[in-house]
Amino acid sequence: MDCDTEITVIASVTLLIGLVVVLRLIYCLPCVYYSSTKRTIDEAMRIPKGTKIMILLGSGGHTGEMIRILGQFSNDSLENLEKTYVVSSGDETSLLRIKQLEETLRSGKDTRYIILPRARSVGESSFSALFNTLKSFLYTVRTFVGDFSLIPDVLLLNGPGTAVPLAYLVFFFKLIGLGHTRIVYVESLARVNNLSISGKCILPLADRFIVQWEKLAHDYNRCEYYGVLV
Amino acid sequence: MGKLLVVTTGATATFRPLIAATLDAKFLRGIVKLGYNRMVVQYGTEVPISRQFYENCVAQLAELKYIGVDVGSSRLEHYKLVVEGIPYDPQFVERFVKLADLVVSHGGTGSILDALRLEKKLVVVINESLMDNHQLEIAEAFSNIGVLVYASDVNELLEKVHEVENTTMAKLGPSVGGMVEKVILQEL
Repeated sequence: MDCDTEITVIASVTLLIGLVVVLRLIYCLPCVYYSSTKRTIDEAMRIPKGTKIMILLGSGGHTGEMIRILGQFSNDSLENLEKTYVVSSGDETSLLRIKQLEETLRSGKDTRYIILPRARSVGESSFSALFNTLKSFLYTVRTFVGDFSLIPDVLLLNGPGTAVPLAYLVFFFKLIGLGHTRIVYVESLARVNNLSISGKCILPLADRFIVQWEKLAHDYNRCEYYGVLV
Repeated sequence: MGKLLVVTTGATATFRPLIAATLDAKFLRGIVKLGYNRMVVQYGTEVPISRQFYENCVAQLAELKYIGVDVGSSRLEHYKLVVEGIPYDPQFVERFVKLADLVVSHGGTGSILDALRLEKKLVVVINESLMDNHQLEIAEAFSNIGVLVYASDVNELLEKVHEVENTTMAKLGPSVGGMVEKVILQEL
């Protein structure tokens, strides 16, 4: 085989792989095939038993909003869901608050909790923040790789920064055919005029993206507005 | 029956200027004129520092004979206004906000929503010392839809209390949080 043929073969294989990846991305990326018509949901419908959901409790305000949102779910749906909460280490308040909610449910004892190393502490230097974010991300990868049954049917997020690696990781699993997680992102009530950075990063991957102020639904594609959710 | 004013600094760092502004002689005279005879100040979670700060503010009021405070006074019925300081308490909404005729709150989302969901008259005081916070943005957005009045400076507090007392406020309406459950159902 002369040099030219070799180059041609390598180029063709690379192109082919590239094409497969692009096609797979197009197939998986919600922002590509998004349709604004949704099936209608009957008031009496409940989330089926055994549906796996992973819920990120971001910290103070994010956790507060998430708990308010979950509090609006019907009790049956909340009990049918197999829940895994993701909490940052040291965020005892979030853990305490969610356990209070779980205690009111019959299914509370089956709920799982994943404690991730904190991605970034307030006032931390950007170098150590970068290091800790990486550490937190690697820990997340290891947790999933150790137990693929953790890959949920639904990933419910409402920020902050920690939501981004989690969303990308779960999307990557979907891309390589592991799981079929639907990503639902709720933007914080604090975002009135602009999406958060986390929100902007997750928007292309999110199957559903809900905002709480009407202006955002006008300004960004695919953002849905129903009113104040919290 | 007199009215109840509830002041809340949230469950985070003590918002001292708000505590000081509500324990101010002029402010207290102002709310008595508006018919209030009871004020509850939730001074935060940083006990004992926040408690100490609250008590210091109260001590400076001592010469105001017609105001009774829960520090060492027993015959509260003799006063025109009773002021009571309490630390943050998970039952705070149930025990106090629910009964309030007016809520004066810091700009935290949780405290704002607690008051609005109970359809309370609400004045929000923005904490200027918090950098890069969304409190002003949220307060402005809610004030644009007429459900609350906000003060970006604590010195405007009494003026804003008058404003909210004289205005028919819009109602926020019930939460549509159940929509998230519907969205999940659509995706399954």
